[in-house]
Amino acid sequence: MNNYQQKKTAKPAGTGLIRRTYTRKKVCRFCADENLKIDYKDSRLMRNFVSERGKIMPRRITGNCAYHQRRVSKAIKMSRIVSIMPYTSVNI
Amino acid sequence: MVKKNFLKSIEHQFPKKYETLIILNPDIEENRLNQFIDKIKDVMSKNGAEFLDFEDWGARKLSYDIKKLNRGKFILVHFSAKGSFIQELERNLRIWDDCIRFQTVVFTKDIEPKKENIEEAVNE
Repeated sequence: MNNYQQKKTAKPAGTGLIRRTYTRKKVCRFCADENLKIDYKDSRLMRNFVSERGKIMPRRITGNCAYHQRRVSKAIKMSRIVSIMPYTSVNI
Repeated sequence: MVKKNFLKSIEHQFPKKYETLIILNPDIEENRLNQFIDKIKDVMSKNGAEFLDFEDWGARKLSYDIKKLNRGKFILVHFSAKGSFIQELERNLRIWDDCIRFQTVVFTKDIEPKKENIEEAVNE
Protein backbone atom coordinates (compact mmCIF):
# COMPACT_ATOMS: atom_id res chain seq x y z
CA MET A 1 0.00 0.00 0.00
CA ASN A 2 2.73 2.35 0.99
CA ASN A 3 4.75 1.50 -2.04
CA TYR A 4 1.83 2.09 -4.27
CA GLN A 5 1.13 5.48 -2.77
CA GLN A 6 4.74 6.48 -3.05
CA LYS A 7 4.82 5.57 -6.67
CA LYS A 8 1.75 7.56 -7.34
CA THR A 9 3.03 10.65 -5.62
CA ALA A 10 6.43 10.27 -7.16
CA LYS A 11 5.16 10.24 -10.66
CA PRO A 12 4.31 13.89 -11.20
CA ALA A 13 7.52 14.92 -9.50
CA GLY A 14 9.48 12.67 -11.84
CA THR A 15 7.85 13.98 -14.94
CA GLY A 16 8.60 17.44 -13.69
CA LEU A 17 6.78 19.97 -15.73
CA ILE A 18 3.12 19.51 -16.37
CA ARG A 19 2.37 20.88 -19.78
CA ARG A 20 -0.42 23.37 -19.73
CA THR A 21 -2.12 24.32 -22.95
CA TYR A 22 -4.32 27.33 -22.83
CA THR A 23 -7.00 26.62 -25.38
CA ARG A 24 -9.97 28.89 -25.39
CA LYS A 25 -13.19 27.02 -25.85
CA LYS A 26 -14.49 27.62 -29.35
CA VAL A 27 -18.05 28.78 -29.75
CA CYS A 28 -20.22 28.08 -32.74
CA ARG A 29 -20.47 31.29 -34.73
CA PHE A 30 -23.98 30.70 -35.92
CA CYS A 31 -25.30 29.87 -32.46
CA ALA A 32 -23.73 33.01 -31.02
CA ASP A 33 -25.07 35.32 -33.71
CA GLU A 34 -28.61 34.61 -34.82
CA ASN A 35 -28.53 37.08 -37.67
CA LEU A 36 -25.82 35.13 -39.48
CA LYS A 37 -27.48 33.01 -42.13
CA ILE A 38 -25.88 30.19 -44.04
CA ASP A 39 -26.35 30.94 -47.70
CA TYR A 40 -24.77 29.11 -50.60
CA LYS A 41 -24.41 32.36 -52.56
CA ASP A 42 -22.34 34.05 -49.88
CA SER A 43 -18.79 33.15 -50.82
CA ARG A 44 -17.24 35.52 -48.30
CA LEU A 45 -18.68 33.62 -45.37
CA MET A 46 -17.93 30.21 -46.87
CA ARG A 47 -14.26 31.08 -47.27
CA ASN A 48 -13.88 30.92 -43.48
CA PHE A 49 -14.72 27.23 -43.40
CA VAL A 50 -12.47 26.10 -46.20
CA SER A 51 -8.73 25.46 -46.27
CA GLU A 52 -6.40 27.13 -48.74
CA ARG A 53 -6.75 24.17 -51.02
CA GLY A 54 -10.51 24.45 -50.99
CA LYS A 55 -11.16 21.53 -48.68
CA ILE A 56 -13.93 21.72 -46.10
CA MET A 57 -12.42 22.07 -42.63
CA PRO A 58 -13.47 19.72 -39.82
CA ARG A 59 -15.56 20.67 -36.85
CA ARG A 60 -12.71 20.49 -34.38
CA ILE A 61 -10.97 23.32 -36.19
CA THR A 62 -13.90 25.53 -37.17
CA GLY A 63 -15.61 25.15 -33.80
CA ASN A 64 -19.08 24.86 -35.27
CA CYS A 65 -21.76 22.82 -33.58
CA ALA A 66 -22.84 19.65 -35.36
CA TYR A 67 -26.07 21.13 -36.64
CA HIS A 68 -24.44 24.15 -38.24
CA GLN A 69 -21.44 22.23 -39.56
CA ARG A 70 -23.84 20.05 -41.52
CA ARG A 71 -25.49 23.11 -42.98
CA VAL A 72 -22.18 24.76 -43.83
CA SER A 73 -20.79 21.72 -45.60
CA LYS A 74 -24.03 21.33 -47.58
CA ALA A 75 -23.91 24.98 -48.56
CA ILE A 76 -20.30 24.72 -49.70
CA LYS A 77 -21.10 21.71 -51.85
CA MET A 78 -24.05 23.54 -53.38
CA SER A 79 -21.96 26.59 -54.20
CA ARG A 80 -19.32 24.38 -55.79
CA ILE A 81 -21.87 23.21 -58.35
CA VAL A 82 -22.52 26.75 -59.55
CA SER A 83 -18.79 27.52 -59.34
CA ILE A 84 -19.04 30.18 -56.65
CA MET A 85 -16.62 28.09 -54.56
CA PRO A 86 -13.76 26.05 -56.01
CA TYR A 87 -13.44 22.29 -55.85
CA THR A 88 -9.67 22.68 -55.70
CA SER A 89 -7.60 25.80 -55.85
CA VAL A 90 -4.77 24.26 -57.85
CA ASN A 91 -5.72 26.28 -60.92
CA ILE A 92 -5.38 29.52 -59.02
CA MET B 1 -43.68 -7.64 -55.01
CA VAL B 2 -42.86 -4.31 -56.51
CA LYS B 3 -43.04 -1.44 -54.13
CA LYS B 4 -44.94 1.55 -55.34
CA ASN B 5 -43.36 4.90 -54.96
CA PHE B 6 -46.20 6.77 -53.33
CA LEU B 7 -44.35 10.04 -53.29
CA LYS B 8 -44.35 10.20 -57.06
CA SER B 9 -48.08 9.73 -57.35
CA ILE B 10 -48.87 12.54 -54.94
CA GLU B 11 -49.46 15.86 -56.62
CA HIS B 12 -49.05 18.81 -54.36
CA GLN B 13 -51.82 21.31 -54.76
CA PHE B 14 -50.08 24.17 -53.03
CA PRO B 15 -47.26 26.06 -54.74
CA LYS B 16 -43.85 26.49 -53.16
CA LYS B 17 -41.28 29.21 -53.55
CA TYR B 18 -38.16 28.33 -55.52
CA GLU B 19 -34.98 30.04 -56.53
CA THR B 20 -32.86 29.24 -59.57
CA LEU B 21 -29.36 30.47 -60.19
CA ILE B 22 -28.50 30.45 -63.87
CA ILE B 23 -25.06 31.00 -65.38
CA LEU B 24 -25.06 32.35 -68.92
CA ASN B 25 -22.38 33.01 -71.49
CA PRO B 26 -20.78 36.39 -70.52
CA ASP B 27 -20.70 37.63 -74.11
CA ILE B 28 -24.45 37.42 -74.46
CA GLU B 29 -26.11 40.40 -76.15
CA GLU B 30 -28.91 42.36 -74.54
CA ASN B 31 -31.53 41.32 -77.07
CA ARG B 32 -30.68 37.72 -76.48
CA LEU B 33 -30.86 38.17 -72.72
CA ASN B 34 -34.27 39.78 -72.93
CA GLN B 35 -35.39 36.94 -75.17
CA PHE B 36 -34.13 34.48 -72.60
CA ILE B 37 -36.05 36.12 -69.76
CA ASP B 38 -39.19 36.36 -71.88
CA LYS B 39 -38.90 32.69 -72.66
CA ILE B 40 -38.62 31.81 -68.97
CA LYS B 41 -41.70 33.89 -68.24
CA ASP B 42 -43.50 32.22 -71.11
CA VAL B 43 -42.71 28.74 -69.83
CA MET B 44 -43.89 29.75 -66.38
CA SER B 45 -47.19 31.21 -67.52
CA LYS B 46 -47.91 28.14 -69.62
CA ASN B 47 -47.41 25.76 -66.72
CA GLY B 48 -49.23 27.72 -64.06
CA ALA B 49 -46.20 29.07 -62.23
CA GLU B 50 -45.81 32.60 -60.97
CA PHE B 51 -42.81 34.74 -61.82
CA LEU B 52 -41.83 36.71 -58.72
CA ASP B 53 -38.45 38.33 -58.97
CA PHE B 54 -35.39 38.63 -61.16
CA GLU B 55 -31.86 39.72 -60.34
CA ASP B 56 -28.84 40.29 -62.54
CA TRP B 57 -25.45 39.97 -60.88
CA GLY B 58 -23.52 40.77 -64.04
CA ALA B 59 -20.42 38.99 -65.27
CA ARG B 60 -18.39 37.29 -62.54
CA LYS B 61 -15.30 35.19 -62.48
CA LEU B 62 -15.93 31.47 -62.23
CA SER B 63 -13.83 29.48 -59.81
CA TYR B 64 -13.26 26.80 -62.42
CA ASP B 65 -13.74 26.59 -66.17
CA ILE B 66 -17.08 25.48 -67.52
CA LYS B 67 -17.27 24.74 -71.23
CA LYS B 68 -13.90 26.48 -71.68
CA LEU B 69 -15.24 29.74 -70.23
CA ASN B 70 -13.69 31.37 -67.18
CA ARG B 71 -16.34 34.06 -66.72
CA GLY B 72 -20.09 33.88 -66.53
CA LYS B 73 -23.20 36.03 -66.28
CA PHE B 74 -25.16 35.19 -63.14
CA ILE B 75 -28.93 35.47 -63.00
CA LEU B 76 -31.23 34.82 -60.07
CA VAL B 77 -34.88 33.98 -60.68
CA HIS B 78 -37.50 33.61 -57.98
CA PHE B 79 -40.80 31.96 -58.67
CA SER B 80 -43.57 30.02 -56.98
CA ALA B 81 -44.69 26.75 -58.55
CA LYS B 82 -45.57 23.15 -57.93
CA GLY B 83 -42.73 20.69 -57.67
CA SER B 84 -43.43 19.03 -61.00
CA PHE B 85 -42.82 22.30 -62.84
CA ILE B 86 -39.10 22.28 -62.12
CA GLN B 87 -38.49 19.35 -64.43
CA GLU B 88 -40.14 21.26 -67.22
CA LEU B 89 -38.13 24.41 -66.54
CA GLU B 90 -34.80 22.60 -66.43
CA ARG B 91 -35.61 20.79 -69.66
CA ASN B 92 -36.09 24.17 -71.32
CA LEU B 93 -32.87 25.52 -69.83
CA ARG B 94 -30.91 22.60 -71.18
CA ILE B 95 -32.11 23.34 -74.71
CA TRP B 96 -30.98 26.98 -74.54
CA ASP B 97 -27.44 27.31 -75.91
CA ASP B 98 -26.19 30.25 -73.85
CA CYS B 99 -27.12 28.64 -70.56
CA ILE B 100 -23.98 27.09 -69.10
CA ARG B 101 -25.25 25.89 -65.74
CA PHE B 102 -28.25 26.17 -63.42
CA GLN B 103 -29.35 25.14 -59.97
CA THR B 104 -32.80 25.19 -58.40
CA VAL B 105 -33.25 25.44 -54.66
CA VAL B 106 -36.24 25.72 -52.35
CA PHE B 107 -36.50 29.28 -51.15
CA THR B 108 -36.18 29.26 -47.37
CA LYS B 109 -35.78 31.80 -44.62
CA ASP B 110 -32.04 31.26 -44.58
CA ILE B 111 -31.69 32.58 -48.08
CA GLU B 112 -34.11 35.48 -47.76
CA PRO B 113 -32.23 38.12 -45.73
CA LYS B 114 -29.13 37.78 -47.87
CA LYS B 115 -30.74 39.85 -50.58
CA GLU B 116 -30.80 42.96 -48.41
CA ASN B 117 -27.20 42.44 -47.42
CA ILE B 118 -26.10 42.45 -51.03
CA GLU B 119 -27.91 45.70 -51.63
CA GLU B 120 -26.32 47.24 -48.58
CA ALA B 121 -22.87 46.17 -49.70
CA VAL B 122 -23.43 47.74 -53.09
CA ASN B 123 -24.58 51.02 -51.56
CA GLU B 124 -21.58 51.24 -49.30
